[in-house]
Amino acid sequence: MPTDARTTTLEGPADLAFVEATLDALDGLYGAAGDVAPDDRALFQLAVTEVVTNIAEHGLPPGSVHVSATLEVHPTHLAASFTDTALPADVELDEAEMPDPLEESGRGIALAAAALDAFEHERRGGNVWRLRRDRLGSARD
Amino acid sequence: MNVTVTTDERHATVAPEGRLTAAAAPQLRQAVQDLIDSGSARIVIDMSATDFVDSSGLGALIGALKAARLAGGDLRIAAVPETVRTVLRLTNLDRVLRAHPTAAEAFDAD
Repeated sequence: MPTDARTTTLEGPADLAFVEATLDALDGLYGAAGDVAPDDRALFQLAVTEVVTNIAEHGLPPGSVHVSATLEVHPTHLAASFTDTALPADVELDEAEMPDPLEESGRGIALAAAALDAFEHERRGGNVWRLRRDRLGSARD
Repeated sequence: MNVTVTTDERHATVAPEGRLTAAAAPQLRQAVQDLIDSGSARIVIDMSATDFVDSSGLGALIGALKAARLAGGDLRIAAVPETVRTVLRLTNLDRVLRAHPTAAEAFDAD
């Protein structure tokens, strides 16, 4: 297992193209690391896409939000942070519940929370979102 | 993402290729709506080439399921990769969107 972290950063307008660019960057990072377990890959990718899609679709005012992202693969965990320029979001991460199966929306934050070991949102001018998933086989607290 | 649509006498098959995320979800919704509008409401989503699904993709699948049922048909999913199954289980959608081994046999019991 590598001992160093692998990191990639990107920034741009918060739109769906940025979501895809973030997922491409994460794929590249996984490829470079080479040893991330499939479940860790998939579930962390899920959390990342939910958070960045949420910024793209709900960040206010629409069309003028900028976001910068940092993605990291560490030997023990996967981490991401997103800093956006949107109006501070009114969101309670630990109260997100999975909606009824036939609902078409409202799953994003609950899904991200389910896939992560640490999930934080801070209002700082805009919003800062921090995500961490401990890798399988690592000690979980 | 590419969405390939094929039809035979028993059902129509929609095969999304790549990531089924917010950017691709409208394509899937439109492909299903076009089928329903043309009289094909028995629809299989063949996920053999679907790498990844997020909540936007799930929303499109649920919307498509409801539209198909409203038109007197049904929507089933087939050839679901393990990573997608994991997401379906997390959301309890594995009970709503029944997974079949292949698109060809998704409507076999009917």
